[in-house]
Amino acid sequence: MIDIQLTGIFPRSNELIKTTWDYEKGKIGKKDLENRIKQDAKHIIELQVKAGFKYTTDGMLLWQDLFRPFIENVDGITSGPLTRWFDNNTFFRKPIINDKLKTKERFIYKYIQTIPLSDKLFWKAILPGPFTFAKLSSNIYYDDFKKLLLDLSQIFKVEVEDLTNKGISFIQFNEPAITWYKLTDKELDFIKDVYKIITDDLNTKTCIHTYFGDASPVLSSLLDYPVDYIGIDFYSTTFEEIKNLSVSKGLLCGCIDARNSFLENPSNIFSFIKDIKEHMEPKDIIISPNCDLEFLPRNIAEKKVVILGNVLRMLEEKL
Amino acid sequence: MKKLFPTQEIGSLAKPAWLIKGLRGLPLLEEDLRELDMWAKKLGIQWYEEIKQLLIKRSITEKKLRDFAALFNIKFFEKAGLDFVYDGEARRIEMYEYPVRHINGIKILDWVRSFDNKYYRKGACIDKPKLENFYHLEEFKFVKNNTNRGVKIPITGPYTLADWSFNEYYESRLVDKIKDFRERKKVAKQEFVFDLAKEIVRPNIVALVKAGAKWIQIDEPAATTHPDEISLFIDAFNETVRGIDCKFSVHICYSDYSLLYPELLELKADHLAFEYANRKNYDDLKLFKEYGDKREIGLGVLDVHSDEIETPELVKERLIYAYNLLEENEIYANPDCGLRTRNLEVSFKKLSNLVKGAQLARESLS
Repeated sequence: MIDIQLTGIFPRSNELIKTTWDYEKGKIGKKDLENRIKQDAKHIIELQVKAGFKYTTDGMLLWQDLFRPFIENVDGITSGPLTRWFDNNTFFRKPIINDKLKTKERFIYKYIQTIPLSDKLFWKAILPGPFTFAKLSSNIYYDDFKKLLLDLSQIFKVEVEDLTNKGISFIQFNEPAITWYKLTDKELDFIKDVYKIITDDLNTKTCIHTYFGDASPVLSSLLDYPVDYIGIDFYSTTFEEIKNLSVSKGLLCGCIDARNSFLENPSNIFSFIKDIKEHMEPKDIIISPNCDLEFLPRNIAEKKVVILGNVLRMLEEKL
Repeated sequence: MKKLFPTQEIGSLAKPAWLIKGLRGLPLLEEDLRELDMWAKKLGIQWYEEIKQLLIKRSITEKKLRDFAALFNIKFFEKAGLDFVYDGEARRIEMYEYPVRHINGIKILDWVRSFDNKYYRKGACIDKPKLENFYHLEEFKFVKNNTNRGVKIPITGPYTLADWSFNEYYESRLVDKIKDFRERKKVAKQEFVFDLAKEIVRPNIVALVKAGAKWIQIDEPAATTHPDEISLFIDAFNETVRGIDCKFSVHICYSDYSLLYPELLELKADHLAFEYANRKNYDDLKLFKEYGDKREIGLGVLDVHSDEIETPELVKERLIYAYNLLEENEIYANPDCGLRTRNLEVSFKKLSNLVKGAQLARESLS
């Protein structure tokens, strides 16, 4: 199976950006802002459907950054200083862990269901990976990083079960920290255990997407993780270095550059996917941007979605 | 004897409503005029009445308004008591878009999110960059003619200009030559950065020095963004300033400074202006000691992302901590970064306390 998907936050339209500013200045009410968000989400979904996406997202328009819903809803976390988001000119609020992590009620679904889920579509949820979350937080409560990660895994477990019950059929965990930092085998094993907790008995497709870093040193370990897909950023990982690895899982191929406005030629992406198929023989392939398209202006991001659709059609015709 | 803890600003000030509306030809509200009145009187700017009348009539020229705004900011810094001043970047949209608008080959695209609901317009390099004109020369001459204080010119560095731009031109040239996406991106970036250093930033600096510039601050907030490109940033910086007789500082903020060493020792800069107050942690200063880096330090003692006013005592405490730790480095006092995120009232209080704090620190050591 070959599919195309988004992997993160989609850029807001200029209209939504302006509406947000108007809301901040008190010129319009909350209802006006919500309506604009719904319109934008609807457009983003239609764009994906038109391109041929099976699993769609609402563009994650309510996410100020990948961690913010957790800061806003989990007891024990407060909002910290603006911090650079890996190697981007983009910043996030660092979560400060200053007490034991607890949640009173489920919350992630509120950030995903911008508009009611349609029965006609499959829905994809994109969450921060627990390791990336813990690693990028400032922990002043737990005396041990592992304890923090285990408590986080419980929160994630409850949330992903809730999302599954609410009809989400694909859950992706964004784990750029796994390839950004040099991890020991022990650390990689522990992260695997965390995912065992989260995905145990879960009845939905799951993916761990690594990006911004070279996946070649850790890919063989990741292939043992209890998820259906592993995602690779091919603008940070050299294909030659991993091409001889046989992939027993699905592979999410980040081969559309979400950090450059240069528009890929679908034929080049087609050839690349052909190489992956021939050499690595993954179970399934998802073609995607290497990371969130929000690093691009909205009009360019939309063009990249169209490119994904064009690549899919070429593959369907020729392979 | 050299003055201890000289005080400097880092770059931008907020643009008041009368300036933004004036540039757009919009009518000013009573409160906008009141703000102009209040500050102009406080700063002792004689000819503001004429500007005010022109603003009310909506008949002011852009040049006149920009000149006034630049003078306003120079006086603002002087009144706060700073030793080194500039024009608060009154003529610049901001540190990226302004230079990019003077470079042929870079096209400004739409908004891209920086954080939360803050956006910036990002350029895409679509052709070989070519300098349209020396984009800081006139502003420098104006500052030089309107202050007796030391002048330091902030200018955005080549690495940051490249890193904050999309790179279409150099990538497209390599599509057929380099198949691997990662390698192609890397080579394209190197070519882009060096062309910006040689063809854009260096000629600007040469022109400024010829016009009498004595101290230029090269802003490189992107320097540590890609840890595997630190040497690219350093090589491009050194190429930019090679052989030019001027004091150079580098300003880098919101970064992990440990990533810069030991390579930073090779950087041809005399002064390093870094941000510390935002993180409320001055531990990174130990890096200078650890690597024996004895250059001047611009110590960020004001958090530019908070309205909380640092007291003179807190400024003093931070300066003395750095002084005791790094007895061989000359320490300057400055905000973490440009103050454009704060309103003028907050910025003025912060800068005034910075000056008072530096004085307290001097007194405590005398």
